[in-house]
Amino acid sequence: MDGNGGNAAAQNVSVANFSQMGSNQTTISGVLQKIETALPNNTTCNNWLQGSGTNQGVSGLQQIQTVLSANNFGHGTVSVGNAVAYGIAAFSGNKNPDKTLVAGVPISAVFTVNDIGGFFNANFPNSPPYRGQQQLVGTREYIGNTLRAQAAILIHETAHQITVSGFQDDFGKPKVVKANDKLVDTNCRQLIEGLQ
Amino acid sequence: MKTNARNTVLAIAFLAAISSTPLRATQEGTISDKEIKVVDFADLEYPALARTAHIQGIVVVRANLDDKGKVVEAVAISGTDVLIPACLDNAKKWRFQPNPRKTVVIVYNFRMTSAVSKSGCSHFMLEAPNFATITSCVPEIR
Repeated sequence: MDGNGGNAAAQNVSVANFSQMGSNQTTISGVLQKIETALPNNTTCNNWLQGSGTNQGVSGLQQIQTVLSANNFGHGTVSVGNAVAYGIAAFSGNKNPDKTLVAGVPISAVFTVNDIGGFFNANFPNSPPYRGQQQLVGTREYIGNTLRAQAAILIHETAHQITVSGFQDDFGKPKVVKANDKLVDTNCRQLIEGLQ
Repeated sequence: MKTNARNTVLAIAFLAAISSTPLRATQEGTISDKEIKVVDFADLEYPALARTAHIQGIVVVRANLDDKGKVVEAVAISGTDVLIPACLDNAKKWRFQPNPRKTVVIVYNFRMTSAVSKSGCSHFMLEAPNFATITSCVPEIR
């Protein structure tokens, strides 16, 4: 999970209006393609973004290429419990902590980007309790809806999908999200900030 | 009224035509289920990249046998690139009762599932004569 707030521990996630097409899908694909092109030229990030454990041998590059080719991802409005979750930018996986499937997400979807989170939005809503504050993403606090924020989010999710060594499950654990974001920053900052 | 009568005549003519033509259930190249008898097989794990990318699908493999029924060559007739190599490797570990044509077909069915059993997340199940289902469970959100 990538996001900037909310302790969602033990609560189920659901997604409304899940879709694998449209302009938001095109935006996600475009960012994945930019990362795909840049990865082979960035040794530090490429060497770090490798699978471990049962996913040993799967590289981040292969993962991105395969997910792109199959269009096995989507976007929608994410809720945690009964509340819409502006603080979650994206998540990988399909099962809730209580082992039920995430409602609204097909089994084929590897990850889901939140239409109302930091991937697509620079600000939280104007209404309380957010008061329009900025959506800030990752260790460098990239402003939401910028290419840097989007790349940081997708690299974070790819690291989850292939179980990069040292990357931990962070759903509902803001401190672990931060630790994971730091790993992304340490290894892939140059790639993220070099994207155009 | 006239149209109804004409439709009835056409229907009768059609039924007469199909009843006089024996249905060809098999063609020359068809490998009948009766020709496929598995003697030994090897389990197949869901390929890691296919699992992490949630790639599902069916791979159909044609395998050529030697005189003892051992698979000596395997070719994918259909399927997705990510799944094919593992199927071809796996098919070469199977053995069949020799058949005159020295050819069999294996169908691999890859499915991601939400279910987890006591024995874990990855399963291989063979249904006679040649239908292998490989399942893996989807991950928890992270």
